[in-house]
Order: sequence, then C-alpha cells, then structure tokens
Amino acid sequence: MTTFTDEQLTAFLDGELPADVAAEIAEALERDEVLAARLADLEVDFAPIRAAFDALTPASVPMPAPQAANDPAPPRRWLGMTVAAGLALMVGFGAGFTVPRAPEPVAPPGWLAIVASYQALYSAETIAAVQPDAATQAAEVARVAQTLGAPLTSENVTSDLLRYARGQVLDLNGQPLAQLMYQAADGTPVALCVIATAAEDAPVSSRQIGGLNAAVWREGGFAYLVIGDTDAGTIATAAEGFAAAI
Amino acid sequence: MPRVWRYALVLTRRRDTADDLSQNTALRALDRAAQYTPGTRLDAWVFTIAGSIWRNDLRAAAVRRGQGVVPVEDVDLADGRPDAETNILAREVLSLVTELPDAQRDAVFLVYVEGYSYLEAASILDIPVGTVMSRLAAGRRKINEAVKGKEAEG
Repeated sequence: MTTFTDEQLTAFLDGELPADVAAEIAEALERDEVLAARLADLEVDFAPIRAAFDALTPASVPMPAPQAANDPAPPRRWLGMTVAAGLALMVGFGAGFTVPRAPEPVAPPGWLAIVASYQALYSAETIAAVQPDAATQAAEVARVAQTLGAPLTSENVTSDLLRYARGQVLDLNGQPLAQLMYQAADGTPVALCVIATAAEDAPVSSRQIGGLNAAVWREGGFAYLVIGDTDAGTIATAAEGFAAAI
Repeated sequence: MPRVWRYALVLTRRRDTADDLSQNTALRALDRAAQYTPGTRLDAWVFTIAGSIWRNDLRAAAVRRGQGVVPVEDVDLADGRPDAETNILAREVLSLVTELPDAQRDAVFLVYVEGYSYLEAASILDIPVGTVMSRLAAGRRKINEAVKGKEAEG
C-alpha cells in the first residue's frame, strides 16, 4: 500500500497535485479509513477566514507621493507609472471602505486542477449509462443555474459535439461549482464547469490541465472550463460554442 | 492599499507597524519600479518587497521596541467598527491564522487568503515549494485542531 505524506494530502486538498497522484489518493481514500481520517484532520473551511480578512481595512493609510512617476529617465518613468497605476488599482479595490463588505465569491486557488483530477476519474462507462430526457435536462440545468446565479439555460449548454448526460452542483471549499457532464462522439466524458470568480473577463483559451485537454474563459463574473480526455479540437470548438451561446 | 496593508498586518500583527510597513513597501516599489518585470504579477512582486522589508529592516526595529511578540488579543484587528459582536467573531476567525507560528502564518495567508499557487508563494517567500507544502500542512493541522477545540468548547 502506498503511504501518502501530509504534504501530499495538503496538495491534494489544494488541487496542487499532478492528476495521476491525485487520482491515486482519491482511490486510496475509498478504502483506507486511516488515510481518510488523516485527510479529515487537514481539512479547513477557509471561506470564513477569507471573509474575515476581506472585512479588514486600514483605518487610514495615506498613499505616498508617486515619486518615481516624475523620474526623468523615460523607460524608468514608464515602468514607474505602470507600478504606480498597479498600486492605485490595488488601492482602488477597497480604499474608503470602513464597513465590512460581504465576501465576494472567489474561485478557490487551484480549482482547475481539482476539477481535472476529478474528471480523470470518470470513464466512458460512467457516463454512457446516463441518458436523461429533455425535461430532466431542463430541470437539472435550471437548478444548477439558480444555485450559482449563472446565466445557464437548457439551450445555451447544448452542444452539437457533445451529448448532455448530467448536471449537478458540487461544493468546492464552500463554493458552489456547476458540473455539466457530457459524452463526446468517441465516448469520452467531457465536463463543462462553472464557478463564480472575481477575475475579469477573458476569451476562450485552450490548455492542458492535469493531462487533459481543456478550454477556459471568463465572462460576467463566472469562470468556465470545458475539460475531457478527448482531442483538443473538439474541446476548443465545444468551448467556443458554449461561450457564444452563454 | 488594503491588500498590501493586510499582508503587512499578517506579517507584523500590529496596526501601527502594518501602516509603516505598507507605506515603506509602496515607496520602495515605486523606487524600484525599474526592477519590475512587465507581464509578471505586480501584486506578487509588491508582496515580495513587503516581506523583504519586514524581515530585513522593520522586524529588528519592532523587536527592539518590544513589539516582536504580541499576544494576539492585543492586536487591534477590528478597529473602529460599530458592531462589537461581529468584531469578536471576526477576531476569533482571524486568530486562527494570526496565532500560527510566523512561517506557517505567512504561507497560509498567501495561499489560502490571497489565493497564490504554491509556486507563487514559494517565490514571494523565497523558499522552496516543498517548504511551502510542509508549512501549509502544519498550518492546516493547527487550524483544524483549533476549530475542533472551539467547537468542543461550544
């Protein structure tokens, strides 16, 4: 039996492990109660801690004068202004607040890797047996959309390339994560995942996450991920289709 | 500059020292703007500066002034808030992190509060990724125990 260190279990919780090791741990947890207990001793809900930190604000921290912006050397001045603008942006995020804000939903760090490690566990057989009718699909998507407050409808999560199988909401460190499962023409399970994010919009981009092909984009306060062990073209085209429809 | 300031607060555990540190950090960031590599994360770069100023300059001065080790209840974290009950709760939650030993506290804050990856946190703290992992594991164990302890107290 493989023994995993606390560091590996921590990285597992944080989605910082390679997909193969994460899958090994997930599998071992199914049958190893001691390992499960050790993992439980490392679990922490960081959402309230983040919220408490978000509510913290300096009583008054005057900004220093941006001296570097007046530096005569041109390249340095440009950089100085970049840095000053960046600092101003960081300031702008909460300057002036004196009352605690409601914490904004933020995708947990490493959520892409966590999703990838779970996705790697699905097989074609897992998903082939799930054949919902149109009414079931509409009800599942509506429930997912409502839980997340995301603009998802039965129509805009339909793809020509992928057969819809199941929609559910998972809990990722206290954040709701939508998982819509599909089956590609080659039988591979493919997921469309959605989670609230504070990050700004970004167009569809393809990448490899945990050895799987994936495409990610962000729009209107939500981060979207299409991921599966099928060819990159299918993933990218499906992602473009979803992004255009949603 | 709330994000720099609250990292300064985590490092220093004092409002006044955090004010000093965040101002010094902003000044040095502007002064060293030429060293910033465009395209890299500006916030991580600024955090690196804050950590370096704290470790190299201010911490020694703070210790000399007898401020190095401050009981957490003395840390005026929730200053000027009208809702006392919220303050007490927030303070308890914050103390889960602020009561950790220095090294674990910094790593836990950067990864779990600020959302940096292990690699980014290692770069900010200038330590190996493996060290970040062991500090996070130790931090998680301690916070988990502390939460269970509080729950047991009711």
